[in-house]
Amino acid sequence: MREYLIKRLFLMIPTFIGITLVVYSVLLMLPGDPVDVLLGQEYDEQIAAKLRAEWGLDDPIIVQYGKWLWHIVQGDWGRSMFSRKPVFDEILAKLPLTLQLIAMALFFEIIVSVPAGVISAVKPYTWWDYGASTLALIGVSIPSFFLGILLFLTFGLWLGWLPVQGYVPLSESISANLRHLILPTIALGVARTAILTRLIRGSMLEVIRQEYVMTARSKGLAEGIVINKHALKNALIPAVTVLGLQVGFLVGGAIIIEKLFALPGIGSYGIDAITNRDYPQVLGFILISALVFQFANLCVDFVYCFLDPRIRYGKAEA
Amino acid sequence: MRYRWYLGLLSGMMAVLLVTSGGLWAQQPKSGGTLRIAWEADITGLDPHTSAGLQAQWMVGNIFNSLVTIDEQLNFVPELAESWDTKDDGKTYIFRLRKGVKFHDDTDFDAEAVKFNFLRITARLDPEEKPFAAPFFTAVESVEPIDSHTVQFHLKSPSYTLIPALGVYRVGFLQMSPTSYKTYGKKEVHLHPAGTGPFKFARWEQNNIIVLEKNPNYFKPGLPYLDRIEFKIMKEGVTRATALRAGEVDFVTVFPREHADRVAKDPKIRLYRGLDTAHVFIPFNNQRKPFDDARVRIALMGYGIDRAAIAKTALLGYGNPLWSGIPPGAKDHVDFPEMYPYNPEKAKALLKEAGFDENNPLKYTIMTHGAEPALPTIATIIKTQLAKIGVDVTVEVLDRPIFLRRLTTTKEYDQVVNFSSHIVDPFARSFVLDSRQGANVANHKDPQVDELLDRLALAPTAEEFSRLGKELQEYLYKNMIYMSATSLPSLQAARDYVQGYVYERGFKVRFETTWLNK
Repeated sequence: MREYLIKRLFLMIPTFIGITLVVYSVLLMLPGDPVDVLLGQEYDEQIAAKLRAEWGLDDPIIVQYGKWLWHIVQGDWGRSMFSRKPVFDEILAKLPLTLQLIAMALFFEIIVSVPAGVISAVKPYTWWDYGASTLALIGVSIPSFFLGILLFLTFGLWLGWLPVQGYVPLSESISANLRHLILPTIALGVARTAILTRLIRGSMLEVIRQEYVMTARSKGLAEGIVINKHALKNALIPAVTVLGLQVGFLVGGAIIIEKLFALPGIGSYGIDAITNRDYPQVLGFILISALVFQFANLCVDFVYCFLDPRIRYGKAEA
Repeated sequence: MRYRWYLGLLSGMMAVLLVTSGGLWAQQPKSGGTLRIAWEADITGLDPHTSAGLQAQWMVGNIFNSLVTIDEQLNFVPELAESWDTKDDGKTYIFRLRKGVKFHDDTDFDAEAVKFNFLRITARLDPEEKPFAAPFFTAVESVEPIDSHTVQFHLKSPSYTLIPALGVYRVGFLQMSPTSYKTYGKKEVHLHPAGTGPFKFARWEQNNIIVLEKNPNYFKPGLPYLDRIEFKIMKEGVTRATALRAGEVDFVTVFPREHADRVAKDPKIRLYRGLDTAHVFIPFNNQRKPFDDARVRIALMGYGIDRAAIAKTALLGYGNPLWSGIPPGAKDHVDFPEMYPYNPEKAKALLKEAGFDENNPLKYTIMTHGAEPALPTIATIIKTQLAKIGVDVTVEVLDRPIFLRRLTTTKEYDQVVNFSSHIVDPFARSFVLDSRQGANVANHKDPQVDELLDRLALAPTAEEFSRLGKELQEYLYKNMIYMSATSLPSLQAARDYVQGYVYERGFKVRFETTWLNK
C-alpha cells in the first residue's frame, strides 16, 4: 500500500505541470491582460508600460511560466497583481471554507442519496420509487444558482430562519458556522444528489438480482442485513467512483454558490482571479483545485479497498 | 424641449429626497454602533493615489481628507485648508492649513506633508509609481511650503482646474502620512493607509470584509458618529438586495435596478437617487471607414436611434435618454435632443448620400461587455432600431479584459457600447477624449477636440471653464464624435434607521455624518 501511495504522489507532479502549463498558455494567449483590467478607462500607455515591465508581462510565455514554476518549487506562489498580497496566504485563508462546503455537500449527497436509492431499488415501481425519481429529476434539472436564490428567499427572507449570506469561521462559533452553510450546502449538493440517487438505484437493482444475494436470503438472513450488508456494499462501488469525480464538479459549483451566498472561499476567489486575469491568483486557484481533486480520487481508491477486499493495487502483474 | 419633463421629474425627486432627509435631520444624532454595508466588489488597496477601481476610490474618502472638498451641491468647501487666496492673476494659490490635525499614525499634518503628497500624486517622488490623477495636475509647476501651515501652489498659467483637482477629480488631492510611506514603502503602503479622516483602517480580508473604525481624534468636532463600518463584499445584486430586506445589512452602495421597484414600496427601506452622473457612451471608431464620415455617424446615432425607447427598456425606468457625452448630474451638462431628432427617413437619406442603400447596405459590429448588464441589451436595441433603416448590425459581447484591450490599445472595433464611472464635469472626461494621450475611446484624430481640451485645462475662471465645457459637448455631439445613449443611475439604499447620510451622486460615498437611530 505504501508503494502505491508513493507512486500516486509522484504521478501528481507531471499532472500539475501539465495542468498549469496548459492554463498558463491559454491565459496568456487570450487577448487582454491584468494591466487592461486594472487601468480600465484610465488606460495610459506610459502607466501600462510601467506595469507590464514590473510584472514581467513582456517576456515570452515560456519564460514567464518558467519563472513561475521556479518560484513554486521554492514554495513561493507569487503575489496577486491586484491586491499585491502573497497568493499562498490568500488561498490558505480561503481554503477551509471551501473544503468544509464541499465536505458538507458530499455528506448531504450521501445521507440523502443512499437511502433514497436503496428504497427505490428495493421497492421498484411503487410510490416510493416514483417519488424519489421525480425528486431526482427536479433536482438534476434545476440550476444551482436558481435553487440558491429560491432557498435564501424562502428560508432567509420570508421565514427568517437562516442567514441569506456571509460566513462565520468554525473556530468562532460552530452553530453560527453551520447556520450560514446549510443553504449553500443544499444548493450545491442537490443536483449531484439526484444523479447519485439514480445511480445507486440502478446498481442496487442489478446487485439484488445476483445469486449471492439469493444465497444470503436462502440461508435465512433478515432482509435488512441482506440489503445493507451484502448488497449495498457492492452496489456502492460505482457510486464511490462517481463521488470522487464529483469533487471536481463541486469545486466548480462552489464558484457559483460562493458568489451567490457571498462566501469568501476559493471558488469566488478563482472567478475573480479569472475575470481580472490575475495570473498568479489563477494559477494558485488551479493548483489548489487540482490538489483537492487528486486527493479526493486518492481517497476513492482507498475506499475501494475497504468495500471490496479483492481489489489489491500494484499486485496485478504479480 | 420634449425632454424637459425628465429634468422636471428628476428635480422633483431630488426635492422629495431633500425634504425627507431634512425632516430626519431635526433629530439629535446619536453616537455609536456599527454600520453594515453590502459592498459590491473587493478593493485593490487603500492608497489614495495608486489603488485602482471605484471601490477603492469610494473607501479612501472615509480614511483621508483633502485640502478642499465638495458639498452636496458640488460647491467647493474648505477641509484641511482653512482658506485660500490667489495671487499673480491666478498663477499662485496660497492655502492656510488647519492646525493641530494628526494623521492616523500620530504624525502631524503640515505643509511638508502637502508637498510630499503633491510630489507623489504627480509621480515626481518616484517615477516608477503610477498615480492615476497625475494628468489633472499638469497645470501645477510646483508646491512650496511657506511656513509649517501655509503652502503655495505655483501654476504654469492661471487655471480654474486646480480647485476641482484638489476636491473632486478622481478622489481629489487626499493627504496621506509621509511617515506611513517611509515606513511601509510603495509596495505595502496600500495595505497600511494613514490619513486624517473620520475612520481608521482596521482590517481587510480579501473577498470577504473590510472594517474601518472610528478615529476618536477627528478634527471635525463631534464627528464621526459611527464606531465602526463593516463593508461586506457581496458581488451578486440579488444577494445585496435580499440581505438588506432581511435586515442583515443596513446599507447597499450599488443597489440593483431590477430590485428597486420592490424596495421602493417597503417603508423600512429608503432608496437614494439623484441626478445621474454616469452614462452609457456609444462612440464609433472615428478613424475606421465608413465611420470617418460624419454623415454616417449622424445618420446612425443621430436620426437613426430612439434613445427614449432604449432608456425605457434597458434600464427599467431607472435611467434617462442622453445625447451629450456628459451626464446630467455633472457640472456644465448641456443636452441636444432636438439637434438630430429620431427620424428613420432622414437617417436613410443621409446614409444614401454617404453611399449606403438597399443595394449596398451598411454592415458593422457593435462591441460591448456584460460587466454592466444593461450594455448588451442597449446594443441589441440599437441593432433592432438600425435594422429599420436597412443597417445590419452584429452585437459582440466580450469578456471585459478582451474588450478593454481592443478599446484602449488595439482599436479593433466599429462602435462601442460601454459605461462610464461618475463624471463631475467635462474636463474630468479629458482622459478618454484626448487623441494624444490616454484611452481615446472614440479613436478620433480631430485637432479641434484636443485644442478645446487644452483650452479647457487652462480656462482661467469658472465662467470660461463652464462655457468651454459646453462648447466641447456641443462640438462632440454635433460631429457625433463622442455621445451617449442613456444616463446610468447610481442607486443606493438603506434601512430606515440609517440617518444623516449625504448622497453625493456616486462621486463619493462617505459616512462621516451617518448615524444609526436604533
